[in-house]
Amino acid sequence: MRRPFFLFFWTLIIFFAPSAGRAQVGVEATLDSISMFVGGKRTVRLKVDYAPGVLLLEPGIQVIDTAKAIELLSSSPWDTTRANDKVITLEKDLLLTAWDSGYFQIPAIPVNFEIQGVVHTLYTEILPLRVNLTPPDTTALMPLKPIIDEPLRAEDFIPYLIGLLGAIAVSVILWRLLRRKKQAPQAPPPAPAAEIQPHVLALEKFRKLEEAQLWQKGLVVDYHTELTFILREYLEARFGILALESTTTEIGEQMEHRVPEELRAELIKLLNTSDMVKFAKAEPPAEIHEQLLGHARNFINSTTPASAEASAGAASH
Amino acid sequence: MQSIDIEALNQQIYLDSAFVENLNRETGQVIVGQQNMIERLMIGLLTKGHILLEGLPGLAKTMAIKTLSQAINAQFSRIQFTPDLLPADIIGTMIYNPSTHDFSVRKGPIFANFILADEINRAPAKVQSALLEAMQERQVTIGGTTYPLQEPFLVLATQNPIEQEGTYPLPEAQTDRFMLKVKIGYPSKEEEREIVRRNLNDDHFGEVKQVVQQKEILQARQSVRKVYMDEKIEKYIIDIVFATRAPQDYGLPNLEPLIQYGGSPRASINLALAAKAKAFLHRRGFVIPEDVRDICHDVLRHRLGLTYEAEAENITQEDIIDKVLNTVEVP
Repeated sequence: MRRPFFLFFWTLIIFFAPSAGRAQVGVEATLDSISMFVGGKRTVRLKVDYAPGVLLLEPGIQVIDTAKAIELLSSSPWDTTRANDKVITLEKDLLLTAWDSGYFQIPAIPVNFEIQGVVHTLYTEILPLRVNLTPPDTTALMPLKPIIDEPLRAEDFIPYLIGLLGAIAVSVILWRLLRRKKQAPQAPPPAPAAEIQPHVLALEKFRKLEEAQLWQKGLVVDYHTELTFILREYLEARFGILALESTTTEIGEQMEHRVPEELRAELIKLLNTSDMVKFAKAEPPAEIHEQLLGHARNFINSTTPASAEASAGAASH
Repeated sequence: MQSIDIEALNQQIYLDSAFVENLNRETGQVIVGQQNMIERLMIGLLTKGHILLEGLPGLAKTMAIKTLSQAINAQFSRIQFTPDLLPADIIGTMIYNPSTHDFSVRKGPIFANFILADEINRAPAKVQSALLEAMQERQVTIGGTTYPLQEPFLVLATQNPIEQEGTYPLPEAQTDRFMLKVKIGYPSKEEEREIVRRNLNDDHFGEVKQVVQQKEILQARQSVRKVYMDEKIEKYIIDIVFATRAPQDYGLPNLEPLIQYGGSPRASINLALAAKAKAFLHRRGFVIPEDVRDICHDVLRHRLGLTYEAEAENITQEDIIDKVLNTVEVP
């Protein structure tokens, strides 16, 4: 009968002896808030209650760094919040942060202590922590800040100074040039070229043609070519028609209604006769050459502006 | 330099060209107006040149050449160019005769004096080439035998300026083979009234009689070449053609970007020849600047190539020629 009792007694001792030691120590971890923003800070308060005969060892707070995304920033020294002959209460603040959003767990922190030479470990509870993303800034956009001007320095004025000096130099040069020009004697302006009237020019050319005595020298074609050229040149200048680029027929058409009909007929006859000499090797009698020159002069004299006005006036009377 | 008796030549030309008045009178019985076209046909006939005619349908193109051939008693044939035409349809081919077991030559419609190649741009290039080669060589080869074409030989090719879709425009090198490109327009009001009256009468067209012998035409061709052309006229012709090639040298720099290519030496030759024929038709033995200017457009208009710039500005060959003629000094 004594032996079963003995066995029961020793079993109780084996099972309850450690817990009897642990019963003299209590650990607790509390989080100031279960949520935070990324990069924010939270404090875990570690609280240990133990009897005066228990030797408290340093807690394994490094275990916090093993948690994903949570980093232990600092830990405060133990703070004795209660001490009497029955219980001693110590508290320690652990400052931590998180760099990622999500739901995380702060692992159980082991607290070691020694009772009668035996080391025991108690663990705090696992603490949940929610880390949120930083909310967007919903406040209104601030206006752009003005450009900050650099402070002015002396060398900033150098380009302006050079420009100013250049302008002064140019002004001085111009002023001196103008002054010199004013002082120099003024050259007389070129005399305006006297505008020779077409009929004057043509009659002068006829005079020279006559003096050249081309047909007398046997240069009949050259004589008629020159004669008609002078006449066509006159028609072009006097009447503004393309006489040099027109045939005799075309000249006749262009001169219609520009001169009296008898004058036009005489002109066409003259040009046709010359055409025969120029293009058909015609050899008119000698008197024809002079006669044609006379007709050409007559045509010009009859179509000068003064005679044209006179004939127009006579016609009106 | 060979001395020329202009008076005698003038007299000779006057006699040789006597048939011209008869011819004009006879064609005038059938053709109302279109004197310009008739004259150009005569110029082609007298200078062995061929003529490209551009005009709308119904302007008496066929009637003109047919009447001319009747007045000369020449053989006339008309070829309507179509996309399915073959060279053999023009020049002829070898035909197998089963009874004699032999090939015989069947000559094509080109074996005539006057050919009307109607709407030449409707046939493919090989057919056009066959005709143009025959025009140039004045002979055709069938089955290895060469046959000369009969004289006088005149080709009048027509082009319709509208309905260009599905046509084969003649290349520039081919158009250069035509001596003249004549544009014909509508008749005047009086001419059109006369045309209507004649068509309403039963005997509207008189019967065309032969007024010229073919040998007279051949002789006239010789006379045309004898027509005197002064050096000044020659220079005038050369200046006109050169002004189309290098307009900047003639005070026309603004024409330079408009002309792709100017008149060829063939243009100068044909302008001189046509001017001589024109003088002959006016029964003169010498050429005057009027002859050159009158025929200038017809000789040059198909020999000037215009640039895209000219086309974009709606500038035509006529405008270019007008500017050249109004710039080059008449001798």
